[in-house]
Amino acid sequence: MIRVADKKKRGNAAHFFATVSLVSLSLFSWTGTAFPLDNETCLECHGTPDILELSKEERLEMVIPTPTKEEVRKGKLTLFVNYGKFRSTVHRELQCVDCHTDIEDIPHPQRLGLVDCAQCHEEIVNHYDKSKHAKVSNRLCFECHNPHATTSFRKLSQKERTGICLQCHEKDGHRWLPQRGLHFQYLECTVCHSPEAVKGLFFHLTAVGKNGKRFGLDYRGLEGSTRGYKGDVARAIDRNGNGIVEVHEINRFIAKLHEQGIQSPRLQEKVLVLRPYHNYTDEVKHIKDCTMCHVSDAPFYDQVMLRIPERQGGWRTVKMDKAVVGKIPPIPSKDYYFSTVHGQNGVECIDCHADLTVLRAGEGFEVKGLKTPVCEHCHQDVMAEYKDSLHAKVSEKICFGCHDPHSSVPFEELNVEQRQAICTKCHDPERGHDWLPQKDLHFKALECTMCHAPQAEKGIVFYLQKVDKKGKAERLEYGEVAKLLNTEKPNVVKFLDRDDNGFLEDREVLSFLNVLNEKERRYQIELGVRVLVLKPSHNYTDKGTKAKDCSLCHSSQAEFYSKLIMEIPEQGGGIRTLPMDKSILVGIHSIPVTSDFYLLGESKISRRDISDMLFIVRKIGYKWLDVIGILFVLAGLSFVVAHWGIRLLTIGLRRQKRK
Amino acid sequence: MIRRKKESQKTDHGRKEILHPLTIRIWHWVHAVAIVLLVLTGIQLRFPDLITWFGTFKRAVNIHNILGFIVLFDYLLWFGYYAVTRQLVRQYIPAPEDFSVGIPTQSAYYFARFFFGDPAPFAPTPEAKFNALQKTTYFGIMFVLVPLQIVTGVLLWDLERFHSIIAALGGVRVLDAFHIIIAYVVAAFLIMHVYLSTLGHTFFEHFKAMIVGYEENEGGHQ
Repeated sequence: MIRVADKKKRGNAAHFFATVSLVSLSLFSWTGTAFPLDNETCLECHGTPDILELSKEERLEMVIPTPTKEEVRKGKLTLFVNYGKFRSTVHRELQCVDCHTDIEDIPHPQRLGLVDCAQCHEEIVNHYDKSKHAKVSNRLCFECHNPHATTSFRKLSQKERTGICLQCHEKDGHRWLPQRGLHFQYLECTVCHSPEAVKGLFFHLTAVGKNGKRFGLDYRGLEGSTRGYKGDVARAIDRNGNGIVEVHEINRFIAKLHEQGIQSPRLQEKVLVLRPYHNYTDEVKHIKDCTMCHVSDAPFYDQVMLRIPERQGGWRTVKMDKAVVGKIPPIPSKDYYFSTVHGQNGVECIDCHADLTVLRAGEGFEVKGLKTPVCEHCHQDVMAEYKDSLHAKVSEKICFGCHDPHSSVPFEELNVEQRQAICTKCHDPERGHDWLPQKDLHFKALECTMCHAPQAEKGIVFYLQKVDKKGKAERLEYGEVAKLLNTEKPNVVKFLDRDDNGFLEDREVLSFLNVLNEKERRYQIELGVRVLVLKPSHNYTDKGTKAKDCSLCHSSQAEFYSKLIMEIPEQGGGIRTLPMDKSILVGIHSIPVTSDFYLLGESKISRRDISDMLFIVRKIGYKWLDVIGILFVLAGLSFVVAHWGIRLLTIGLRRQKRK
Repeated sequence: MIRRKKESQKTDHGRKEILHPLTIRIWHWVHAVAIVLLVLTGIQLRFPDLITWFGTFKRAVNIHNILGFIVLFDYLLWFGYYAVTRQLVRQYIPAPEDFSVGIPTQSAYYFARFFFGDPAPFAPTPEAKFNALQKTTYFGIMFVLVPLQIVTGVLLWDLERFHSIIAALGGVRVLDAFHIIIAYVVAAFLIMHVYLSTLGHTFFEHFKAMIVGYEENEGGHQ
C-alpha cells in the first residue's frame, strides 16, 4: 500500500503515513474485510527498516521478553525483513505464516509465539535439543541462523560457516591445539565440534598470485576456461557429464588453466561438513581426539568433492573420483604417518603427546603449548642405553636431534646411505677416518654404527639381485621373481625353503638361483650381500679404541657370522626374512653367490672350527686351501724329521766308511 | 731334494774359487729374511684370531706389504744379475738328462746312499752350481711361484686400484687362493731347503759357504 522508498524523504510525513496505515488496517479488521495472509501483506509493515516508526521500546513490547537475548537488550531488534535478501534464501518459497503459525488475522496481536522450526526441521531440532549447546546456552535456532537470510548450507563458504559460530564464540581458546593456524585455515568449527556430522574432503582450485601467495580461484578466474560450455565451470570440468569429476578430467582442466596463463594451478583440499549434525559438544573426550581425523580411514575420505564457484556467486559441489586423493598431492602427514614405523605400530598422536592423554581423561587442561613428548615411555631400553652414552653426554642431543618421529621408517627398511645420513647430519665422515684402510670401500658398504656401536647386533643379509654384463647390480623385485618362476603370485618362500623347515640350506638357495638363471638371459641372478646392523645399540663410542679394531669384522670370529638372513620379496612389496645356513659363505659354488664378500675373513680356519671337526669336513669349502697348505708343510716337516732320524741312526755306518 | 748352491772348488793353485758372488749372497740373505718374515706375518693375517705375533692386524698388514715390496726388488736384483752374467739358462733350466738321469740319481742319494756315507753324485762348480733336483726345484720356485706370488701380492695390496684386473682374473677369492697355496708351498720348501743345507761335509758347511762365498772342503755336497 504505502511504500517508504527513501529514508531522506521521510521527515514528518512518515508519522502521518504510519498512523494512516495502522488506522486503515484497523478499519479493515473492524469491517471484517480480511487482509490476505500473504507475504506482500506482511511486508507492508515488516518490509521497511523503520517498521511503522516504532521506537526501540515499542518494538520490545511487541515480542515475548527474552531478556537474555543480546540483540533485544541492546535494542537491535528490528522486526524488519529484507525481502530482497529473503528471496535468495532457502526459505524463499515459504509464506511468512507458514512459520509464524499463530497469525490468523492481520493486524496480528503482539507477542506472537515462538516459531517452531521443528515443523520442518524436526530431526535437527531433536538433535539440537539433546545437545550441550541447547542445555547450556538456551539458544534457539534463529539466534544462530537468521531464517530470513539463510542460504543453502552447501553454498556457504568455510568463512561464512565459521562466522555462524563466531557470532558468540571466540577463536581464542584452542591453545592446546597443535598447528592451530593450519587447523583454522582448513577446517570449519563443526568438523571437530560436531563429531556426528558427515564430513567430506572438499577440493577447490587454487593458483599462485603475483605476490607469490596461493589463493582460491573464483568464478572470474575460471571463466576463461569455460568457452564452449556457456560459462558453466562444472560442465567444463565434468566433460562426460556423469556428475563425477574423474582424475583425467580435472587434470585436463588444470592443464587448460595453465595454458590460459594461470600460474601453477592446483587443487587444494579442505575438510568441511557435508551434512551438519546439530549435536554440538565441547566435551574434551570428543573433541581433543586427533584420531578423529588424523587416521588414514577418517570418514571424510569417503566423501570427496570438488567445489566449483558459480557465476551468480556461491559454490556448487560436485562429486569427485576418490582416486584423486592418491593422485593429486598432498593429503599431508596423515597417510604418510601411517607408513612410518610409529604409524605402522599403531602409535596415535596422543600416545606421545602425553598432555593430550591427560586431556582425554578429562583431568583438566592448562597446557599453554604441547610439551616435549617423552620417547622413553615406549623406548625404555634405548633411553637407558643412550642416557649414559658418550654421545648423550657430549652432544646433549635427545631423540629428535637425530630422528624425526613423524617420518621415521622402520630401521630394517633403511639402506646404508639412509642410515649413514642420520649420523652425517652432524658428523663429517671425512674427518678422522684417514687411518682407515680402504676408506671408500668401507663407507660404501657399511653404516657408521657398524664400528661406532660395538654392542649393536650385526648380521649378514642376503638378497636376490640381478647383475648385468657391466657388473651393475640391482635388487630383484617380487614381480620379476614371479615372472622368472613362471607362476602367478608365487609364494617365493615356499619355492626357496623346499623342506619347509624355516631355515635355508645352501643347496636350497643354489637350486633356486639355478631355476631363476635358467629363465633369465640378460642378467645373472645372484645373491647380493650386506653386513648390516640388525638391532641398533645407542651406546655410541667416539673415535675411541674400540672403533679401530679391524678384527671386530675381519675375523672368522666376527659377530655377524652368527646371524645370516635372507630377504625374500613378497607380494605387495614387503619382505620376509628367513635365517640362512652359514655354508653359503664358505662353499665353493658354480654360481658366484658372494663374489665380493671374501675380504672379511670367513674363509679362514678358526679355533671354533678346530673344535668342530665334523663341521670342517662338511662345510670347509675354501678353507681346504689352508688344510692342503698345512699338509704341504707337514709333509716337508715329516720328511725332515724322518731323514734326520735315519741320519742319526746311521751315523755309525758313515763313520766306518770314512775310516 | 734341494741343496745349498755353494761348494767352493780349489783351483790348481789352491786358491779357493768363489762359488757364490757377493751380489748373490746379498740377494740370498735379504730374500731369506724377507720370506721368513712374510711367512710369519702371513700366518697372522690368515689367522688373526689365533695369532698376534706382530701386534695389531693393521700392523701385520703394513709389515707384510713392506716385505712384499722388498722381495719384489730383491727378485729384480737376482734376475738382473743372472741375466747380465748370462747364466740364467745354464744354471736354472733343467736339461732332458736331468730328468732321466740326474733326478733319480740325486733322489737315490738323498733317500739311501747318503746314509751309507757314499760320495755325492754331483759336485758343483761356478759354471754348474745346482744338481738336477736343485735345478728343477729352483726353476719352479724362482720362475713360477715367486713371480706369481709377487703379482698376486701386489694386486691384493690395493684392491680398489686393481679392481678391474682382479675382476678379470676371477676375483679376490681366486687371487687369494693362489697366494695362499703358493705361500704354503714356499713355506714347505723353506723347511726342506734349510734342512738339506745341513747335508754337507759338516753340518754348517753350506751355511758358511753362503756367507763367505766358498767352501772349505772339496767335493762333498749332496
